[in-house]
Amino acid sequence: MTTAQAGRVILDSGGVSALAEGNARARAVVVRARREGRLVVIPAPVLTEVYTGRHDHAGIDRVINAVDMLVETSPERAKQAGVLRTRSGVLSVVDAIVVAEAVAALPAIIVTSDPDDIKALVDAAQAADRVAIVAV
Amino acid sequence: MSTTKVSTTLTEERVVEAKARVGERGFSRYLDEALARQLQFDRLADLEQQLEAEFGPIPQAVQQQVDVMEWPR
Repeated sequence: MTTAQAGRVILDSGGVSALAEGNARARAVVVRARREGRLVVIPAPVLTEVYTGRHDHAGIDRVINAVDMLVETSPERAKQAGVLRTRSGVLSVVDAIVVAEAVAALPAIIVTSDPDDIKALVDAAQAADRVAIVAV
Repeated sequence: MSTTKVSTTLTEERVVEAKARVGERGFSRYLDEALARQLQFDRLADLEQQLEAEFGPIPQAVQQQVDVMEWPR
């Protein structure tokens, strides 16, 4: 499949929020992804960080509805995330799952507001040459 | 997701090429995945339009900055 070869763009919670708030860099990433035939996906656990129950979620919902895939976390992926989390020393479970999903379907672009932790996890996965990180 | 049977008209050369690639049995799935991909691109295009209407156009410098980033293939 051409899209599988082109790779995926993965939004973490910072990426989803940035897009919902109209962040120009996040929007430019989506424009390029679409132009290059790259799928834009959100790992489902990311929703635990963007839904708080306190705010109007219309902007977030708009982004989520536009994205084709909410990637569900398989037990295998959760285990891989656990290993990456331990190896990297990064505490965030959700970030670890984001990177595990990225590594599972390379090449990948991760859009994040926390590039340092994502980079540490990508390095722990020894996948730095196949994963690009876009900070928003 | 449930499935449905449809009757539609397709370009013969493309059907032949697709079936040569994925086989008779893989054809429906191939077509369904292509449709899913197109739908996503259309939804993202809608989102881009909505965001542009709300927040204004993406500054050209920002788009250029993203376009020249080294993305793995």
